[in-house]
Amino acid sequence: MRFRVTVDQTCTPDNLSISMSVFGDCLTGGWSNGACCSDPAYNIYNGVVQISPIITSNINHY
Amino acid sequence: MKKLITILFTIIGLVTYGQTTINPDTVCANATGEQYFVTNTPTSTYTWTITGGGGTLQTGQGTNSITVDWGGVPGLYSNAVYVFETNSSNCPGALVNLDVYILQIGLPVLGPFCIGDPLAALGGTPLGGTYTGTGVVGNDFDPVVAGLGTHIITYSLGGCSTTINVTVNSNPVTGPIQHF
Repeated sequence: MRFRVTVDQTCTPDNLSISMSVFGDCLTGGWSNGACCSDPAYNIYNGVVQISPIITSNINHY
Repeated sequence: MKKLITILFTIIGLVTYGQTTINPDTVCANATGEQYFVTNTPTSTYTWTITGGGGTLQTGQGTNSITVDWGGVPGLYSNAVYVFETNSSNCPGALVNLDVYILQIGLPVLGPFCIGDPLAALGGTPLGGTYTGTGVVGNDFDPVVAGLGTHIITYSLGGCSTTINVTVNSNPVTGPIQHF
């Protein structure tokens, strides 16, 4: 299974995290054992849009 | 001289603090071609706005450096110059403002005088400036010190100056009383 994430240009930092959750039906297997009732979400990707802050100097007068 | 000092401070200031102009900035009434700038980021564009003070942006919109012509109505104008930067990703930066104080100085007409007249107050406005020229004694004009002729008197304050011409004339020379 592959994921491809494409984001537009943005001026604000955004959370790009991706995780997968399972339904807690307690009948089918989980990630590591046979009971998935308490399985936490599986984290696939952690990331944020990083932006460079725009720092403009003060105005000077010759 | 003001420009020379400002440029020297600019060079020193940019190296150390990046800011040389004290807020509010003082300009002379009806000054033209006054240059304002922010530190340049080559990939950015700069949007400038001039408000109040009768100021008009002359050159440089879009760049980090502009020239402005100012009006003649004295006073303090808040946020008279502001700019925001847009980077290569089309993201805007925060507004940067500068207040402007337009300084109008005046020096009333004086004279003409006769040689030997007493001192006369020069009366430059607003107060606090300095007078220069032949015949200036403190804040007064002394016709005796000045001597005969037309003298240029200058009043300077806050980087602005104005001049007047003051004339000192000779007294008539009356001959002795004759008896026919």
